[in-house]
Amino acid sequence: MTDDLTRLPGAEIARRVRRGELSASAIAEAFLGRAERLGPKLNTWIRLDREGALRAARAVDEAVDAKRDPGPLAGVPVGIKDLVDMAGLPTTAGSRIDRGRIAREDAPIVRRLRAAGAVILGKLNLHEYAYGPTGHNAHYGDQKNPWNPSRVTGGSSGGSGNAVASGQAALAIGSDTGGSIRIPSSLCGVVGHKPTFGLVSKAGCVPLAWSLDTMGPLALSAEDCALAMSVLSGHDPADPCSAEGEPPRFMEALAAPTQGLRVGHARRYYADRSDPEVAEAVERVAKALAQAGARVEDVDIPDHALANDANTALMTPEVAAFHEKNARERAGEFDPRVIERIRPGFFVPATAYIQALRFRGEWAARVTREVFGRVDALLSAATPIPAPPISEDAVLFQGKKQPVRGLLTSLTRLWNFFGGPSVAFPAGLGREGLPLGAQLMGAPFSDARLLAAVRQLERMGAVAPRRAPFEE
Amino acid sequence: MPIPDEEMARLCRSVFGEDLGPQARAAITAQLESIAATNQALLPRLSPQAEPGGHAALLRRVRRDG
Repeated sequence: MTDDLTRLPGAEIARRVRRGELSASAIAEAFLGRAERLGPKLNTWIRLDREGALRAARAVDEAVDAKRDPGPLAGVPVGIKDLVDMAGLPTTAGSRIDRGRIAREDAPIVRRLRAAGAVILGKLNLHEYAYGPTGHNAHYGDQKNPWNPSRVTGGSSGGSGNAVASGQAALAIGSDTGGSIRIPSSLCGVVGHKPTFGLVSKAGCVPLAWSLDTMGPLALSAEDCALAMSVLSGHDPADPCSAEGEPPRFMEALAAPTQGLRVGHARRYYADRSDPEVAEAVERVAKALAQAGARVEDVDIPDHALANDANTALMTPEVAAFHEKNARERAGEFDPRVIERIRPGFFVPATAYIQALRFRGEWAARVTREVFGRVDALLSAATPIPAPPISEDAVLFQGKKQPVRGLLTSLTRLWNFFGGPSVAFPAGLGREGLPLGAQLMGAPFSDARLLAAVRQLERMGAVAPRRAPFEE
Repeated sequence: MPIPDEEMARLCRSVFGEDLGPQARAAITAQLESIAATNQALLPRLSPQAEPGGHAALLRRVRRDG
């Protein structure tokens, strides 16, 4: 019975807690129990905060009892990627170096979650410093995929993906610089939303690359992501990149009809570079969108290969700049696979970085004009393959061994370069019983429209996020 | 232009205090050469008006239609 509570979607938990039908404390106990049982097997958490979670749950119950509004996320159990500050707890960023760095205050997004009645269960494991798309971690254990624990979760928000997919948290917060929300969403079979750059504050979060970083939710439905975004989004003067103006009205927009939505099927962007079973799954999504009344047509993304390459020129030196001191003085304390990726950024010419920035502005304007002048959203695969084995750095793909790292980010990092939103969602299971992921990508600030389309696909049964059958 | 290994070893010593070994240097060199090739491909695409404005300039232009 207790474990059954962990099957409830976040929005349903909030509805029932707000109505006084369920106690937030009982919900918290159920999720904490599951997290304590499954977490160590999947290397989900760096730190569970039982005491803090139960305290927050009691406060929600007291508010309900006193007829005060407990907030839109009342009682919803949330996991926080451990690169986000929570007052009084270490923010390790998945590293050994920052193991003892205690946050003095909550990050603004944590404050927003708490004010909305969320019950924060603890800090989730990740790829060290979020610099890797697999979820390997030499210090806190490799994050394991609940659909098959010998497979990666994807990263860098691997703990976020496996927590939601295994029912240890109803909602998780991740970050996405090159796909770090969408890759684990795709490989773990959950819904992940990389918001428009600047829509969610990243103050109090350990950066990876300032001009590409975004923070966002992972959950078991588009509605749960929308509910989270209704709390997380909004201007924050503490974040120099924060967008000004009113954020979208996420919950109202969820009911927006798919009828008439113009969807560009970016077939030439992903189909030849994806496993056939992934491409077939995305084709099925395209058909379902058409059945729902969307107008689906093939659309090309101009210069996507060059933009992908330019993204590397942008990201690499930003990562090196953030880690410069530790990379020079404490290199031996990094995971060797992470430090080897940081080092090249020290030698990228400033001119190459600036040319990439110049190109991004013109390319993004061109995509906005040529693509989003024609369609409202782009459909693509999220990852070209299902979850690969944890033990392999390279897999046989299209007849040759290819590095897992490059494959996993090959379809996601473009949208960080563009700056628009993207929602990754499950598009069925593959031959090996592993989730296959699709994504909808949009113009800046079209976040709510994308979530509404995924919501419609869920209602039709064309998309079915569900908990992994791990230790059921 | 290819980066000679001796030059990369010198650069590594100056930044990291050690030459890192041939395998690590080769990986760095490969990435830098890839970025240099990208840069060569970008240059003819850039208009003289293109400025390194980043996202702020882009987001200001976009209608808020969420």
